[in-house]
Amino acid sequence: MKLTAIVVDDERLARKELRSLLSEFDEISIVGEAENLIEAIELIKTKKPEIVFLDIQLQNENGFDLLEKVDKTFKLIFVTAFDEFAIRAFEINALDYLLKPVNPERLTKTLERLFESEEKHESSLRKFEYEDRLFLELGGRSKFLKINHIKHISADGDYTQIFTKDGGKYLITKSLKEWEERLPEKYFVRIHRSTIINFEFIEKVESSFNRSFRVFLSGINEPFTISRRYSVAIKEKYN
Amino acid sequence: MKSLDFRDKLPSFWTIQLVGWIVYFAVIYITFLSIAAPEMFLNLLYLKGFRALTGFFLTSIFLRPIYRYFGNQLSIFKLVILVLVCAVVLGSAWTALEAAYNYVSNSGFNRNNYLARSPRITLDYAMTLTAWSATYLGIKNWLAWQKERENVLQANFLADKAQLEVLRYQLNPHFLFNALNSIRASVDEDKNRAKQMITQLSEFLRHTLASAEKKEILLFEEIDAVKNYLAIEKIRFEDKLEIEYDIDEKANEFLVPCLLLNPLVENAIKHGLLTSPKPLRIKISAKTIEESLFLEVANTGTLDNIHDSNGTKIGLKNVRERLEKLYGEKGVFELKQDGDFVKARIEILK
Repeated sequence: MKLTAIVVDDERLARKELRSLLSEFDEISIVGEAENLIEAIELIKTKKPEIVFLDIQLQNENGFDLLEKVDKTFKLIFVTAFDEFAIRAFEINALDYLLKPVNPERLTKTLERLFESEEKHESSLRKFEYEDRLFLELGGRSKFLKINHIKHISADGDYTQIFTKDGGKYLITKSLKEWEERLPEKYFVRIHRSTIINFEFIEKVESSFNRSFRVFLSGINEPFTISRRYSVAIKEKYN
Repeated sequence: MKSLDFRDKLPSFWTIQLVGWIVYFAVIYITFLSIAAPEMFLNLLYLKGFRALTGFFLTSIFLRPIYRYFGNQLSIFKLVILVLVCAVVLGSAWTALEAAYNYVSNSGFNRNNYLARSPRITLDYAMTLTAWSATYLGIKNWLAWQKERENVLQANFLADKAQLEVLRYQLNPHFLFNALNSIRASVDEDKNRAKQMITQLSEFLRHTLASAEKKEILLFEEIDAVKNYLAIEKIRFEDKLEIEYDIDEKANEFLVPCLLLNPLVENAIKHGLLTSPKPLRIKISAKTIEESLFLEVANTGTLDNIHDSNGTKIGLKNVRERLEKLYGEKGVFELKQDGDFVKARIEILK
């Protein structure tokens, strides 16, 4: 069975190049090409491709925006000339990156990996950098979130709520512990069983009863509590 | 880079001077105690105290200013002469001052005896002063040497950094890899075009690399580089991009800083593609009026600050700074909206 794919790139030659590279793979059949996001959205709706090859730097649009406009019913592969956006995903096969000009061997690996099950991969995922963008799957929609825009993260049952500096709030199907493991320690610190905060947004810290502390983040009136247990750990780590 | 100031590691002149003379005093006082009668201890304290104090003031008031004034301009031979002359003159003064002190404080002062001993005492002080001079000049030269070494390090570091920044800026990786991708695609579609693109990219890269060494080039060389750059972009963007040139024959012979135009052209493409109706038109012109050069890169976009990325700002700042450094008031750069065009203008006035 063939897998259907579309190519989104604003340069005709670039589309042609990728098409020619993909023609070596019998498993892939290209069902359409798009020059901009409007065409891409239309193609995704009508052809329902299983894979989308997406150029990040489109002429006057950003490839990321596509994912906020359509339901992500496909596997996504970014194709870009220069990796300056540094997108990370929680899941190892949530997305992949190809750099132009595409190396055929690398393309083979990407396609192999795309259809393997997640379990085969080592779970040692790398830490996020503070400047990275995070690729989030929110129900059907996807979202790119800059790590340095995260103000705080609160536990919500088994899941977590992310609060961003521009007032955004997203429910993520990841635990606080998973966040703690992946976020850069220099900026993010767990202050409570149910809270991680970003150091950069701290406005002031007050001591409170029972050797705990209250911390105020910019733009939020309600203080957060640094519980005794974590305040000891924080002091050890940052003093 | 943090400035490495070796001065921080050494105590100040006054600390060394003070401690030095206190030690001097302690040594000449204590070594005399064993051979002097106990009733003389207080007198000796005053006498040796006066001697150390005199040494302190003579070196502070005369020697140090003399060395500060002459220290850097004398040859080693002249410096040695200066040190010896100072030692003899100030040593004599020291002897005379001490004689005066003895005369005033000691009623049994034997003038003739003292006079007979004075050459010996003068020699003694002259040697003390010579030792002081050697220490002072030694430290001073060591510091100067360290400072010089530090300056060299600092200068090298800054030069490397500047060159690195220029290169990183010039070798726009987006452009480079996209160009290579287009070439790869062209190999099948149009072999001759692929060949031509390789030539153009090579020429452009050569120009970029040469710019690290050459400061100024003739305008037509710069225009050639721009033409190569834009030819590649034209192949990438095809009918979405139109380019016009309007270059005065006379302008071609002007010397301009290397890669002056390229940041402006890159900007015109980057911002033009975002804001211009299709196709994006770019006009490059060079005019001369009475020995003054007027360069312009215009595009059919609109000037907005929303899309101003950091890279753009660095690029334009770079152009502005280079003009300022090379031409001062006579180098002008402006970016403005003029009707349907965004115009980047450079004026190099006579």
